[in-house]
Amino acid sequence: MTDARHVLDEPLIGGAKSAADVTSDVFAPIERRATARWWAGFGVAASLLLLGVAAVGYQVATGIGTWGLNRTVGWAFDITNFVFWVGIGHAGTLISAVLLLFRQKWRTSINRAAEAMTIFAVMCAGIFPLIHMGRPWLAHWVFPYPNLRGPLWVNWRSPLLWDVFAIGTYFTISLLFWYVGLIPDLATARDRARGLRRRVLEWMALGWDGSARTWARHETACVLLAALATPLVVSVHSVVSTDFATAVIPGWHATLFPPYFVIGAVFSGFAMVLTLMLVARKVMAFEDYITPRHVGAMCKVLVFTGTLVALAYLTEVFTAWYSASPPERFVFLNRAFGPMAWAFWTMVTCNVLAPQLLWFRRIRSSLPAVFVLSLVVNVGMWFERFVIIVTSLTRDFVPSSWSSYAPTSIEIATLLGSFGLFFTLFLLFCRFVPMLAAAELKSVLPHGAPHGRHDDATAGPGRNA
Amino acid sequence: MSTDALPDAEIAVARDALLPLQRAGVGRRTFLQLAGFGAAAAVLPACSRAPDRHVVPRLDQGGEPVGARYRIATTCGGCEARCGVLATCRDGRPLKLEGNPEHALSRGGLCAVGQAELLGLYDGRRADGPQVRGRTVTWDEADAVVTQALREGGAGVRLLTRTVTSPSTRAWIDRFVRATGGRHVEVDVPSYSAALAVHEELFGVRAVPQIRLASVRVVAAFDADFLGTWGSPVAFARDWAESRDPDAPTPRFARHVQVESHLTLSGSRADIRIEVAPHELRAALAALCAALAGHASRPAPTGTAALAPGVGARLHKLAAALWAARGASAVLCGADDAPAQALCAWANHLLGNYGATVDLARPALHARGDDAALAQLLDDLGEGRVSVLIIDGVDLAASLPDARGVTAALKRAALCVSTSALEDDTRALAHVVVPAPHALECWDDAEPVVGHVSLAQPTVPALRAGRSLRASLAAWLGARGDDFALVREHWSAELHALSGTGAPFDVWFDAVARTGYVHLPRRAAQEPRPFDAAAFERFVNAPATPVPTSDTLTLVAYDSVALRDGRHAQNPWLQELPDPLTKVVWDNVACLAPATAARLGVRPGDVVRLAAADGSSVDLPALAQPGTHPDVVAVARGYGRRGTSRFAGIGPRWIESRPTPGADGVVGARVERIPPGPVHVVATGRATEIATTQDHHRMELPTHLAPRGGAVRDVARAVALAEIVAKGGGAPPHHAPPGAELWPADHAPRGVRWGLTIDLSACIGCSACAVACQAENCVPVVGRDEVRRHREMTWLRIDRYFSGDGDDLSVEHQPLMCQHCAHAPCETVCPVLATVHSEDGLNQQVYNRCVGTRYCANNCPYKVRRFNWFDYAPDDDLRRLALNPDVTVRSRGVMEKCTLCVQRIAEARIVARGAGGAAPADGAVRTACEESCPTQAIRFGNVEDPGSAVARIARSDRAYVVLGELNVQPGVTYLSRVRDTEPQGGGARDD
Repeated sequence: MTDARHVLDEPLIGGAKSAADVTSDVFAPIERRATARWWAGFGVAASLLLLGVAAVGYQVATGIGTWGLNRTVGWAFDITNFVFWVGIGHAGTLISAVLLLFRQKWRTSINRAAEAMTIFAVMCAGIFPLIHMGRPWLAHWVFPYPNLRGPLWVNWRSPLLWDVFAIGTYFTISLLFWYVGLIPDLATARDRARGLRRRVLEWMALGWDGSARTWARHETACVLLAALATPLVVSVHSVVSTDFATAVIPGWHATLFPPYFVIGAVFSGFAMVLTLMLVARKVMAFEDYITPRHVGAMCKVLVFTGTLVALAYLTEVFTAWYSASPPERFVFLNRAFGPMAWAFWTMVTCNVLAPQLLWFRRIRSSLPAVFVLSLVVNVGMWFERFVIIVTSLTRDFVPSSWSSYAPTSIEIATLLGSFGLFFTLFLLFCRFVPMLAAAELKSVLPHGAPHGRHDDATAGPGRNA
Repeated sequence: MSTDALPDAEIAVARDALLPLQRAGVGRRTFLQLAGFGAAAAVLPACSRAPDRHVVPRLDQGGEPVGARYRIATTCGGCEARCGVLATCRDGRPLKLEGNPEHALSRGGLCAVGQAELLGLYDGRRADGPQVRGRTVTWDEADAVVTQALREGGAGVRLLTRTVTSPSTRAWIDRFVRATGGRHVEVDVPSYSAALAVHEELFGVRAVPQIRLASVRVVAAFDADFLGTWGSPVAFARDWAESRDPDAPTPRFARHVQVESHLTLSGSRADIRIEVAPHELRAALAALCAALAGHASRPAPTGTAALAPGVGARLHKLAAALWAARGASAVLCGADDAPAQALCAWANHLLGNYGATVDLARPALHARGDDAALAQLLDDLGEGRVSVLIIDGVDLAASLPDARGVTAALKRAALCVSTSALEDDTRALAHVVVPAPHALECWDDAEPVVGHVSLAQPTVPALRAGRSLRASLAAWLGARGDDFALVREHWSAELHALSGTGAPFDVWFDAVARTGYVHLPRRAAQEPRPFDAAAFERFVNAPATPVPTSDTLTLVAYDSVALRDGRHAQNPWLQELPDPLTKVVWDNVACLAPATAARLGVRPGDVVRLAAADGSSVDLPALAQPGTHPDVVAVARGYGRRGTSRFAGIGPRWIESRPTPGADGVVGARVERIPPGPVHVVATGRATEIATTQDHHRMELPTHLAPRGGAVRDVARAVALAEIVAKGGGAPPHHAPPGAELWPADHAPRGVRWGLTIDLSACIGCSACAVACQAENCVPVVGRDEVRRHREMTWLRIDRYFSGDGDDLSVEHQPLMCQHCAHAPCETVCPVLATVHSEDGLNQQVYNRCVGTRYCANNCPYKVRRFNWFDYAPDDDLRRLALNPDVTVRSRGVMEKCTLCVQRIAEARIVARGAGGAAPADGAVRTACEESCPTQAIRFGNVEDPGSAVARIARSDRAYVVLGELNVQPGVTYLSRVRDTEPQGGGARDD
């Protein structure tokens, strides 16, 4: 990742904070009244959410026909949004689980929010497979459970069924991991609260008493969950990619897809974490906790994964050329030069060209520039899924059935609504849950890891069980 | 169910049922006593406890099990070709129409229009009873008004009809004309008047000849779309297919040359297609005749005019081929132009085709319209000489140019009577409406060709109170009697004696009613006079047709395969049937040659104004249509009809939906408004989005996107006849059969695998199968906006591909439905197992289980799956009666697709089991598409049975499967189209 000496030379948390400072800083946003800026953000997000609810309600009541799909293009915004949101979720797991296992301490400033982001993103993602069904009220039929419908069972060969398990597992583990990590901070909040709030927090803190034994079990649980979550980083998006990879449609039918999707997910997830963190550190006054050093580290992840994504794009094109299969070759020519070329080139510009700017330290250290680039990557990754799904479907084997696709107002409202849901949940999270992992932050305070203690650099108080 | 019509019908039935009681002297008291006793008698046995045993109800009534299908032989009323029909009925109503195999002309085929006649029956907008000045009245009141006017009308009575093909109606018309002293005027749209006049002058027979194509070796058609709309397309198509059998041990393949100004169905199937502008048609025929005269060493009949370069040479080759096949060839001409018709007759006369393939002794009777009589009628109307005008079957006001002042003329008749059951422009001007019944609900007869007589029987009690023209005329002449009595009377008096049968009339009539058809060989035929050369000279020296100036195009108004002249404009199946050539639905468009469109700077969808010299104009969206002559703008007739405003409510309605009718409230534009001939075509600056079912019209990929070595998707294949002849068999298979499998077969052979074979060489793209499928399988109509969004629901579509342009244009038609793959990509991806494989090789869709992920449709390489985006309610509740009770009506949110008519397979299996057999015999199951096909291009059967017809056909060297390289192992096998493009090969050979 980054040069170890460099990591240790710079403090992870600025402003010479004491443990008490950390506590008061982290808990301030949830203990004071909401700011006008929070209300403004919440108002916008909730409005978008309501718009989305109305759109989905209309669509479920009227029919999928209110979307711009047709006989040739059966999936477009729905599954694009699904894959996009699942991808967003990945950074959370990667940051909290993989970086925990790799003892990357800089993650402590962002892991709580990133995990929350994961959960909210998976929630957003989960809506789409549900509402994209023609009869969503029968969605429970995709679960294999004993039922009275005779011998009817699910189709274990269908990647959509694998999705059900992949997403279900992912959501469960992510939620558990997040909640377990949250317990010490909930206890702190409990100890600082009074009245009803205290009683609720008592219940939520699950009787945390701060004893060494509790800490030890907590640490063990965290590491175990991290170990469980780590394979999910790879598996979830690999499974999602099989929705396409196992299909016969040129442009979908590619063995490259699992790693390609995983790396794309990490890429988009980190971009989203950056977007959120850059806003949060300003709005929530967390500049000392989310420092340019964190931003720089994430930028390096971004340029690395962005380059891998570019490699995947090239590999895809090479495979098509090397396959000598005319439909395969046509798909890529059509993507680049066909009627939807604008989407392809948007994707290339946003995902391949734009991140290369992050090689420059000047740009990495300019927070506005990084913010803009993080948005650009998010747009690009949305388009990547759109390009894969829609351009492949519009022109497949039989030319008579070639078609095109344009979204309807309902689909656009549904996409906006999913952002509304995400930001509504995220803003509520900022308001009611400690947004930074206070307990873990204290472990990386400069006094906790004195300058030059290489061996012990990974160990915080109570961390070595 | 109808909410307002049936109660009346039921009351009538009940009243009729009581009549015998009244006659028997059963009064009210007696009736009540009997009824009371009956009720008590019914109740008393019911007081005992029901036996606790297995009860086996007896489900037959009069020999037929309740709910069983039965078939009634009748006659199609869709056009004057009057094909034989078998109406499949159940529970007292027809559910599906099939061709009647015993009819000697149509021989089991039925076209798209015939299939859609079923929906015309279940039309809630048909008038229910007579109307006088917009007020619904009783029959007696209406008759009083009409008879009063007839009494006062004297010689001013006019009866305007379409060509009357019914002998019994014709007999009553004769009586009516004699009784009133009026006149009967027949019209055809399009008119065959010139052909009638030419044959009258040259041969003394005022009729169009019967054409027999089955044995021809060369057929040359000049502006005659005989496979699509000209004459008797179903019979012609069957003959045409019979004359071309490339798989015969010695290939028998009639060469088909089409000379036309715009692409027609026949042109799309021709071996050689020559584009000439309408004003050049006479010159082209003259050139042909001159070349034929050269072969016959006779002087050319007329001077030849200049033709486009290349056309003359091709006509010379055609002449050589025709000469080589003299006596077994046919020259057809569909132009309503007397000199052209005369040249055509001369050519056939020289070739010795009269009496062989072109039969004037037993002519066709489907076209007898007289343009001169119509002009006289309009004159009479204009000058107020018409007291009573009775109009039957013609929407005259919508069929003639505005400049002819038809609307004003019709208003001048003292009393105008219309028999139209549906709203149209002419009926709107009528004072009295005496609605005709639908062809499926009344007795009728038809004789489209001399001696070929068919009977039409009601298949359902009348859904709307109507009365045929025959019965009306009889009533106005004071004769009482319904159609049954009138038809029977005529048959008894006139036809029985001609039948040559020894059977008594009743027995004979019942036998005819059972089969629906009878051949009357003794029907008086008029022996044609010898060719009258002097009359011929008079015709060919007529003034030349106007040549368009350089800034105008020639407007060609043609009949579309679906709407014909507009009489089917209110049939939603036909409105939504993709035009076989343009693939446009719910609209007519101005077809321009791609080069002409480019020259005018018009892009598809741009609205252009067609302005005639007389100042009239019509606005239409333009379409660059290959096969259109550069000097021509071709537009389909039959659109822009008043009644089509009813379709404002068709299709799903949601926030972004748009209504089906255009801005002026009707579907399409009425091109008949302006006279055919030179028009100025200018862009209006407006644009509209045409609703088509196909956006990409070529198998060649766009050049800038075509990968090397894969520039063409060869889904619809063609092979040259010469290639087959050279190697004495079919073309080699394009792809070697798949080799060893990596995995064990998902579905091991079990002895039965249902499949189809589709012979692209026989397929003419007529779309009968598409409508048959829609009728059989309850496929909904979705409206213009949904088709524009590419959400048509058709299970069977016909893909149409162009290659080349101009004279080199080649057109392929490919019916495509679910291919019932053995390795079906759709089956693996459904998460809930809603699409599965059956033991007899069907790919099944389980609607109840489907949750609607659409993954199967995405993964279908053929894109034949259809999703229910909305709940599609019919535009009219009565339409629900047309739904097939054997087929589930799908709800919103589920996927559907071709089932290979699984309901028919199931029924045949039950029958076979009942008869002790294991599986239905080959040919016992026929799918709807197969059954309707006029050329028998589609065959259904068990592909695993080596003795079955499909297995035999699939062994042809021409056989291939679409996208075979994917190894999805489709159950549908296609046979490459054979085309005789080689000038010296095939049917032209002199042998």
